[in-house]
Amino acid sequence: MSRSKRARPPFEKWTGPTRPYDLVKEVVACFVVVVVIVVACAALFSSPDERQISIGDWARADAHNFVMTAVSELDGSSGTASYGPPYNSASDGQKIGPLSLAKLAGVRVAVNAADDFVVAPLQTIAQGQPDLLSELSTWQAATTEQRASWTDAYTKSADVASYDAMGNPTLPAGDYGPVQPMLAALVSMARNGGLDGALATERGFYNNNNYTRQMLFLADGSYLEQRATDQHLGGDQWGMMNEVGNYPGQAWLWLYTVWYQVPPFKTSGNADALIWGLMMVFTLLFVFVPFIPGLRDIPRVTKVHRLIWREHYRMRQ
Amino acid sequence: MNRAVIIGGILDGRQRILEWGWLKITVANLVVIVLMVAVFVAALLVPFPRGRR
Amino acid sequence: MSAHAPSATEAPNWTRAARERAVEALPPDELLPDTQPSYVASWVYVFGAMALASLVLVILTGCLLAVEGPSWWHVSGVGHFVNSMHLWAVEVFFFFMVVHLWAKFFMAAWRGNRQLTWISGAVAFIVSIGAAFTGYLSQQNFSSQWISAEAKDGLNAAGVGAFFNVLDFGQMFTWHVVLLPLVITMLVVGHVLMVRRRGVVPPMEDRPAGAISEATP
Repeated sequence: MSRSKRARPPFEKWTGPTRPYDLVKEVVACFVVVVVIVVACAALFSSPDERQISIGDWARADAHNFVMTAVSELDGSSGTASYGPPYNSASDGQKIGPLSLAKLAGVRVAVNAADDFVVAPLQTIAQGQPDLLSELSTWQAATTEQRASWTDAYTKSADVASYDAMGNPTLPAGDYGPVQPMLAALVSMARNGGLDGALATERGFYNNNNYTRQMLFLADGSYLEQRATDQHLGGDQWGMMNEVGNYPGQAWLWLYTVWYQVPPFKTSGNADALIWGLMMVFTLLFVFVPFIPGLRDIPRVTKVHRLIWREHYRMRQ
Repeated sequence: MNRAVIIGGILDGRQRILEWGWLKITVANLVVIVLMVAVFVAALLVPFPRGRR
Repeated sequence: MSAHAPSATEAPNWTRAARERAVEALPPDELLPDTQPSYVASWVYVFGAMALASLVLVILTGCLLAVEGPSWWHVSGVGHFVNSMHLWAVEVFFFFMVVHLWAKFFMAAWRGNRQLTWISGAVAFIVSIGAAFTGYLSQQNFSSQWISAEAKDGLNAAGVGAFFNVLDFGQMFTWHVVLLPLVITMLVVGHVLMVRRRGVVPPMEDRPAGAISEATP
């Protein structure tokens, strides 16, 4: 009554010859072999631990790039400021044909580059510095056109200026408004490590497992990328597959990264979106091989199975 | 820093890369791929003992 | 054997129904057999078990790392060694999983109504890539910084970055330590049970007639 009589699904049962087999022993033996291999590799090769970099490292190593990046955050031309979704609405994001998946997903990790990377951190140190407080107020009260005129002037001058030992550009006379003192304070804060801390705790004491702000700011500059390119980790160096030093990386990502090395993807502004779409197609093909004529016939045609089951075929002669 | 057991870090140091045109691969990754193919081919060819277990 | 026989008027017993279905689907001597078909006579058959053993070691070493937390391996020699074991166990896991995949492909192991076995294995592979990826992000060193900075663009372009923020260590770490291992384990357990239930795929026959029906999809 409660027991349903269901026919077993059509799995053919092997009725031919068998041999004794110890499944548990096999798994245990495999485990022992794996432990030996892994302990040997760990002892011989260890694991890479390339030291993390900070915004302080960046500001100390390359003051010019730090200053130029900081002003680009203020004028909206930095990578983050002009990114689009999910960080802001500055652009529509990448497209696959007419489809913009990024835009559909929306701005869910909101970042205001100028405020989050420059103004807010400065406000944390401005309390004891009336001059800085006043400069920040000037910036906050200014119109978009006024801000643009200051940042344009600053950008032009700072790009070709010489930088002193404290990382500040020596600028000719000009109308830079509050931008010059703001960035001078930011450079000092960065080089002393305070900017790392301020960005980390911007949302509160405990909300610092999320490194979005620090990483986006770091990634807008060239220091992070330069360190990576030196290790052949760059996107157009098959970097996705690689690891630092001579460690093996992720060879299984070869089919994902190869497209970044070849036209038309190599030079396309939509490369990420297009390649993602392509990989989705390949993934579906891979998962559904049993249903795809042609693909599923390759084993029969290549006859590798003749090797695997040669004993069986020989016995059947 | 203390390393408990180890010879350690043989694979640190300057990377070795092989290049053929736009194809670039690190020696490490190539070794892994070659090993995988070698192990697969060996498994196909090495006779399986009969009457084992 | 039931503790008591159900009477006609008794409400259905879910436990008994579940037990009977489980035993009918996979009797104990098929779940843990002590014989195998004679055609299982090649070294290519060990790679599945090797991949499984590697996965167990990945999880064990991961648990050891979890005991002390994600900063441990940067400050302790023992911690660094455990981390090295975790990394190499992952390399070995992918190594054997991929060779196992090659073997199963060339055997056309999806024949005989085994399509789900292939699909579960393929999905386990894809999810494992995700687990390895979040593992790289959990290292908290330069590699994590670079990988997250690069990966964000691909994920953002697909609309995924709005929900899965690679720059959010807390999110990436908990996906790596909790969610993805759970999903992989469920997929692998299902995959192995399917193999036990359907039996190891029989050889391809070049002639249609034979003692075993071909049952190609």
